[in-house]
Amino acid sequence: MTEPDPFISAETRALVGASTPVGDPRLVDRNTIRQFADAIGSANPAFRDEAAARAAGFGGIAAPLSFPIYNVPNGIDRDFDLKLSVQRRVRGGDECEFLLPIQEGDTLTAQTTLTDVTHRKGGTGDLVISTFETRYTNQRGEVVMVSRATGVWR
Amino acid sequence: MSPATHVFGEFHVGQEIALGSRGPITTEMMAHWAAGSGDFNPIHYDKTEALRQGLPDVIIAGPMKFAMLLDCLTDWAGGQAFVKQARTRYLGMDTPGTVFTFTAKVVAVEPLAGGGRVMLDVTVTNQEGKVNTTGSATLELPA
Repeated sequence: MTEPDPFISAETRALVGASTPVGDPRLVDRNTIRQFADAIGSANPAFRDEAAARAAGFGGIAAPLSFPIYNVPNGIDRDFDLKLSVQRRVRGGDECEFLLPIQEGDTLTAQTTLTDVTHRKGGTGDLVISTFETRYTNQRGEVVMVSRATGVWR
Repeated sequence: MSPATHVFGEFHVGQEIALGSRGPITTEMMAHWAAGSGDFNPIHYDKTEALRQGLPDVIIAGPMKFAMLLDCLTDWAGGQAFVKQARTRYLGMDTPGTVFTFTAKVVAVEPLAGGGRVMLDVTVTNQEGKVNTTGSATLELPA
């Protein structure tokens, strides 16, 4: 048990564990998958060609692994009213567990939980690190991916 | 299915792996990313606004770099492999024109029935030799 850090108000600390409402469902469609593939310069035929995707074991055009982060309405740390004295934020990192394949025709929903808010003394001053976790669920109620990301506020 | 599937027995701790490269990243690619992701923070596509905020140019979104790492891992590992988990940390900013080279080092191997898990530390290097992103990944490979 560490001492409460006065840099993070009790009001902000109390938000840890809070979740957004479940987001609007998003149908995974092949045009958006193609846009993702174009954005990252992917040549993977399973993202563009149905026969190739089926040969790779998918039931239709395959979605790239992190597609849910890209296109499914999800929450981020900014959605929680953090009331920090530092305002500039950059994304510090991303982490995903990939549990089940995703393909066109799936319908995904996301729900995001604020998992931590901590204060650190950085080389250039005070930093606040916010951590949030998003669970993505398909139309069968299966969790297909869990994403954890951090925001760095200064 | 990609024929270039790697198998678990090929890997040992300390081994270095070239995962591939992506880029040069164009503003058109960044526009595709902004449009599909709904991340309309102007620092990712509006150079005037990026410069006004003191940035050197528009900035490649972190999750876009994460997606390129995952794409390299998938291409490299082949169709019988599964990427189970991956992460990135963003240490610095990357701008249009960047070519990312993805390399990995095996940090652990764990045999399982029918194959095994390979844990990788990942380094993302730009064309100037600078590392603005690091990461890790766990893959399951067939025997």
